[in-house]
Amino acid sequence: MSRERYLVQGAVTHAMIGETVGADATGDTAGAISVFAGQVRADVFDGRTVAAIEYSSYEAMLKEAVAGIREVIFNAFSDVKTVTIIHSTGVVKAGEISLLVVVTAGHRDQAMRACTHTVELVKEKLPVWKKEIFEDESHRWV
Amino acid sequence: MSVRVLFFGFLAERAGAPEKRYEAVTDTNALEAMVAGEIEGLQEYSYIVSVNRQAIRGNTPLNDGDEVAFLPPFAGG
Repeated sequence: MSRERYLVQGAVTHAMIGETVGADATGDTAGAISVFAGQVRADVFDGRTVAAIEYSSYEAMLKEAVAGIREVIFNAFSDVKTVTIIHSTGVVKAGEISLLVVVTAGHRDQAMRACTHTVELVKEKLPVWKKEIFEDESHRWV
Repeated sequence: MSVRVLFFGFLAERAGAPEKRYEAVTDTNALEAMVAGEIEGLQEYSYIVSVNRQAIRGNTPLNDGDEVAFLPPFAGG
């Protein structure tokens, strides 16, 4: 899977996770692959249960933000080989995955730390918004 | 002189449309004043403004064809 793919319509599927890990693991210089998958929780707010989250994004800015995050990670972690970020847009149901981060590195320490740092940067830097849709079809922006 | 204005997140809902076009607006302060006339309580919301996909600080001149966006706090992940 191309690392240029950073936005996917609907949920990130288990097949996409497998394909991304497989693609990024290609080559024999990386000794560690760290994977983070963010999943939609069925939170309860005011007695209403979240059925799904609808994500929207500023796609033109998001592309630049992803490139910026990858640059930060490569500069901060010299052992990192690849950084892949895939975020959902549109509706993702509770229990489905909306964010995938895969980092490969020579060794596990940098793979895991860089993966954690990438997830934090995704939350801070990506122009993405989410609307919780409840089972009664009401919604709120979070 | 015309600029394309994009609204995201809850601001798209408040604006009634994700995208609008504004004529004869020379800077971002003037644009925000026009938008505030359409979105009740805009000043109370937390948001940033970008011009051509770059976040701005302070008043910024606008040129014909610019793309301005009103961005609520990011909430990815």
